[in-house]
Amino acid sequence: MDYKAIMLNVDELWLKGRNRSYYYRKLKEHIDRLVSSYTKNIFTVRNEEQRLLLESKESFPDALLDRLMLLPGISTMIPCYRVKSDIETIFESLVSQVETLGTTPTTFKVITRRTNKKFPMSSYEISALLGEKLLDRFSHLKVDVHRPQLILDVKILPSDTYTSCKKIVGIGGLPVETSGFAVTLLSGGFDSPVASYLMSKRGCRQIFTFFHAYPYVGDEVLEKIKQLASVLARYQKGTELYIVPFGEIQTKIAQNCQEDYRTLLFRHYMLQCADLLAKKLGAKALITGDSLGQVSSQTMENISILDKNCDSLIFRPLIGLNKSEILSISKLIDTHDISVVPHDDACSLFSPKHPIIRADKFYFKQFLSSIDLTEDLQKAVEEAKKMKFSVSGDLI
Amino acid sequence: MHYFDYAASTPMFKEAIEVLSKSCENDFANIAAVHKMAKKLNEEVNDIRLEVLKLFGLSSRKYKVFFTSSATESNNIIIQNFKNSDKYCFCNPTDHSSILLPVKKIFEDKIIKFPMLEYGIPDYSAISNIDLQNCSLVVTSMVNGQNGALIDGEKLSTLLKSKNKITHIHYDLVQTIGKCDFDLSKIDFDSITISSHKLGGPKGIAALIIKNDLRLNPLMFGGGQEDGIRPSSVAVPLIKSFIYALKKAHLERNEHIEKMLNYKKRFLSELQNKFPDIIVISPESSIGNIISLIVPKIFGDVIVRNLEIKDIIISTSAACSSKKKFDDYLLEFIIPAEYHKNLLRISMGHLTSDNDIAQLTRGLLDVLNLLYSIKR
Repeated sequence: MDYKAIMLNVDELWLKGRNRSYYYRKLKEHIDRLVSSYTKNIFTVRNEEQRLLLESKESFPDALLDRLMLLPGISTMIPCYRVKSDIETIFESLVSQVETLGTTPTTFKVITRRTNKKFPMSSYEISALLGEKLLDRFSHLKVDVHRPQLILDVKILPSDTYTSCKKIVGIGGLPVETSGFAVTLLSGGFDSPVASYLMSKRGCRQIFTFFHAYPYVGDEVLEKIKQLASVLARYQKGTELYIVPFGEIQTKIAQNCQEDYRTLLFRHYMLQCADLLAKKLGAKALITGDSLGQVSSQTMENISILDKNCDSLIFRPLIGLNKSEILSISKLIDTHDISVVPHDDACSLFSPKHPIIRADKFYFKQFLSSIDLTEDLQKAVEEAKKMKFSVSGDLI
Repeated sequence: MHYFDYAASTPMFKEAIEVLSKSCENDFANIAAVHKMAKKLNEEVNDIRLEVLKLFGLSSRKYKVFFTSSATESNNIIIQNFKNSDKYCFCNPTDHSSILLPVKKIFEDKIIKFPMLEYGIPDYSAISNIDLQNCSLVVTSMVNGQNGALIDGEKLSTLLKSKNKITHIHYDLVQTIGKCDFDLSKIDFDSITISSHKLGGPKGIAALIIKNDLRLNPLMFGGGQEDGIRPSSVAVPLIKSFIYALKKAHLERNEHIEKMLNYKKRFLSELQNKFPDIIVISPESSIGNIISLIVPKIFGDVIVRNLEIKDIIISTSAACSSKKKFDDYLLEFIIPAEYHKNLLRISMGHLTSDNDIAQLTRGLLDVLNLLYSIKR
């Protein structure tokens, strides 16, 4: 489609009060960066009565429209046509749009808003006139002011008029960076990518970390993690992925702890490592894909022990979601088909036969004081391989 | 670095590299051209063909030698010449994919598998009871690349030709030459494949030896080189380097075989002493160069990665890194499915030294100690 103008409605505006200009600025920055990555043409983003109007002399690529829908902070998107503000021109613009829709929508309504008070007719009069002309032109159409299948939108602004026939729902939420900065622990499974998306939607900027248990697992899993980071980067203003070598640390833990505590202790030290990384980068929270009761390390007791022994705030946005809900979201955000490919992320060599369900906090504390892995964790963070992703998800 | 994947490919003999380099510098003319440079090279290559035959005690009145780019190509030339045959192929189910895949493609379901014992050894007495009258092609590697299992070519050929003289017998000697003592002049065959890069020569060159009266259709069409069987400009430098390696490997085989068998024996005895639950799946009748093992509790690829950190390079089977739980191919060796991801393949060759074996042994024992302590 041939759109040179897109109207973007900002979500949760009414909550913002005095911080409004900050949120607008952050959102504009993100839109700016995203659009620049998709087109070399000159474009503008301006405030238009609490909406953002994105315009260019050339059409925007369709791929960009798909990406804009995923930008946190945008509640709806209205791709439109800019025409001269006179009834005939406006009418013809509506006609050509209706023609592209075929005969499926049979009921319609025209909604007009005008901020250009110099226009000689009232909004109501304009809607009525355009409606009449459309009924004349299209025999299959009927007016329905309550539940029309098609809404034709007309906005008469001081400069020109913008007409449209569709409204696309975006992910809403808050613009990225407006809620702070966190480190997300990414695994190859379904959960952590969905957790990341939910936090992106709340305006949380994120970088990702993956704990690579080489030589117990191979390098194949890294391909999967890179693909996931690439997809998740699209809900951010671009991002970074840190691949932390964890094999040696896992060996040390496994050689010194009771077999049934392995998984839980691995989890603990991963959080410690992520915490170190967060402090190094200035992030104020960690994000994980834990959901209550899904696997043994996610019982209330175990989550509690992990929480109490971690310095950073830990967000667990999936804590109340069922697996089926998580899978649905993963399909929606395009991570499902990547996560579904099997890989050995947690080498079965280490898996305990009966992982502990309710950890004994005394044993846990005793283990932590029996072994000092601070240097190993710091070394792992220092040796982490860093990858950068652009706002369009490309590896740079 | 300690390299133990000779079964996949081998470092070149230093002299073979020198021969290659010198020949690249001087022998650049196309041997099919009309001028004297070409004629000279053509003569040299024809002399080399005769040298190959002489090396194995074969008469040029009975056989001739062609050069191809690889053993896969040589095998394909033979097998694909049986297109539209309504007869069967008798083949070894533990064989290499460069044989089994074209056989499957050409013969489809008209395949009779060798009756097999454990670990890649054919059941010769069962073979003597099979009706092979409808069989047009018998094809097998003489040494198995996965576990080194040795096939008695003389015995097999005698058995087969006694049942059906018309059947074409093709042997793939890729893993055999230089690692095994055999007398080709005593083996009844119609064609054989020899590879260069498995015996210290360069990659990109191989040979196909066939009976003189065999009419073959080419896989490709072009300039008519190699009697039309294998058009393509002949790669003189590769051939010269190949023949150097071939001669060295075959003539020095006995010394080499003894060395390899000793290494294998030493290594296995130390390993099985410390880890008696390890299963050796290279049978008694196998070459010394290839050692195939199952480590029951640990996945092969975890061991490979732990060793590569120590700069020791070994291999596994293809099943270890695949996403499938087991491999039909390994079942043909009568290896239970539960062990398909636990295989290791350690293979040695002409540059393997005492120190290499010592490092491998120590390294593997260390790795196994570590992994067993974690696995419990």
